[in-house]
Amino acid sequence: MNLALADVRHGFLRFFLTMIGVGFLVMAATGMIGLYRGIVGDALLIVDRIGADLWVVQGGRAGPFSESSAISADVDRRCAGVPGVGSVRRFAQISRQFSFEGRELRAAITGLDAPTDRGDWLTLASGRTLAAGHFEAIADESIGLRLGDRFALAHDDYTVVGTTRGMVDASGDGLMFLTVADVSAIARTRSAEEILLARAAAGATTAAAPTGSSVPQDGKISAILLTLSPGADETEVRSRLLAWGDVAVLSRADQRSLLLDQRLWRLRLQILAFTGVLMVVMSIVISLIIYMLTLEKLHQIAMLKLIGARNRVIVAMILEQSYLIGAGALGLGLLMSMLVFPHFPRRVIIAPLDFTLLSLVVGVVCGLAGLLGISRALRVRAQEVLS
Amino acid sequence: MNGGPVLAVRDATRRYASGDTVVTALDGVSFEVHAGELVAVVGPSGSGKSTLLLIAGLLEPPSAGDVRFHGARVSDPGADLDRLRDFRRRNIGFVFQKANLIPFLTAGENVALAMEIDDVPPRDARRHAERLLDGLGLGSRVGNLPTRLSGGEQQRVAIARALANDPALLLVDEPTAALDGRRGRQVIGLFRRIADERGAAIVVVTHDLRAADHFDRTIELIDGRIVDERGRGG
Repeated sequence: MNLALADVRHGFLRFFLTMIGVGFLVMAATGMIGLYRGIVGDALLIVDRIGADLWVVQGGRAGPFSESSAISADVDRRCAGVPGVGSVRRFAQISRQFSFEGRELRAAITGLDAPTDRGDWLTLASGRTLAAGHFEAIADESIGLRLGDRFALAHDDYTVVGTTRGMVDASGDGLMFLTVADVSAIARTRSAEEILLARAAAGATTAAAPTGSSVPQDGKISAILLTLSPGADETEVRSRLLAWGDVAVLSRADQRSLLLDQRLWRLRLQILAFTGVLMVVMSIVISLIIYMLTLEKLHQIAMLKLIGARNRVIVAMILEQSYLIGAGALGLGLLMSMLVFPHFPRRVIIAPLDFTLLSLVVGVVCGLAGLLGISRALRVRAQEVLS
Repeated sequence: MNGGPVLAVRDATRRYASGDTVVTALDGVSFEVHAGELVAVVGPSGSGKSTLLLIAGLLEPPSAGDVRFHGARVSDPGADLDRLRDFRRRNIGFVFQKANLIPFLTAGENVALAMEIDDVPPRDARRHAERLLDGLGLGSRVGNLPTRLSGGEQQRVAIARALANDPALLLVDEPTAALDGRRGRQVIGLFRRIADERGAAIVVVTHDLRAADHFDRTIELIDGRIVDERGRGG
């Protein structure tokens, strides 16, 4: 007969509540690790999916994600003339808040260089990619817009023609895809007072703006995305671009490194530190539970010794209970995580490998907690039955 | 098995250190118990009865003297009692004033457990446990948890557990202390029957001599020494 299972069966409610308690700790640990994975995944989403081999950004900058970057409007045409460059796309991204049906919404507005890039690399939840050159949008569901919604941005109205699911930037703002031309227009929008002040300032100087306008017309193109021709030498292309002097060139690996090791480094470290603290708390709680369960059974353990039970019978009972609590807590923790985390504002990724590693950690903790209880149980003397 | 005593305690002395003083709980006690014999150990509180039981049951080593089973020495001052656990399981059964049943096991499981830890297959252990409980009038209570049993029923389950491995020696500590006179006599009568039918040597530590006529011998302890030993009717 299995003593551990018999005890669990006898005090099922108490064991179940214990499992739920430890399960919440497992859930919290799963959430912390999942949040970390989510933040990393969100940060790398554009870099990994947009399909660029090289990012040409403002010289001396590590843009456009880790630092701001603004490049002159003709860089895309200059890039197109470099041998080995297969395709060229302009890229822009700005954050905006806007009102829709009485709600304040927030989005990371990202420019697609239509017609070259209409968003075919996006995984749509509904609708279609961009077809027109202006006033169409593909919006992530997290922004709060639905297919067919019309909303105002700057001085224009846009229609949601497609939606994505789970596409956010490193800050958690949902991505909205417009044409680069529209993003530039939105970025150039000035208030009436701002225009007046700019004209007044221009009137006080003799220098004329190259555009003929007294108001700055900065293009707000953040980067140029290059794909290389088959067989092209990336080093050669990079050195030709760098020779211009006014741009910096970053590979996909550079962008990943900048995001993970620079921009998100402290946040990642913070989350991992919290996860570590949570693991320690979980270890202490499980150890205390197993130890208390053992203390409660000292009289019965003495009785088992009296009737001649070998130590392995007692060791098995304690370890099996410890692992039953651990296994139950893992199961309940995973179930609660899957039910609750999809409703959290930030993406929480429950990766099978992460949960497997967490299970191994819980297994080690249960083993150590069991050993703590066993060390106490083995000190019990059979004659304590008489006390 | 030879014709000699099942249990022989020779010159058993047990001393305990208490601060700077040494208390002698048992002082050169010798006695024997034969198969089928029911022996009472009586005496006032503090006379050394429980200590004698612990030493005879291989739960404590004597400070001097030894304990022999069927003539073979099994415990002496240098004995490693933890290594005697297997011997204890196969040769000695214990019954205490409190039944000390495992609360999360049924009556049947409590009895079967004693056999399963001796590597008896679970199904066989279960069947034998049911037979033992049936023999003690608890056939209908096999599936009951201890909390569902009366004090007397719990005591009988504890007796069944003690008998599970068919031990040669049964050590019993104050079995009637929590029972009224009639039930007390019934329990001692039960031990008499076990001694007669199974040929077990039984030592009962007790204050209660209302059922003295059931015992073959009565040993009286005072201050750790045997002061009187008399046979039935003596």
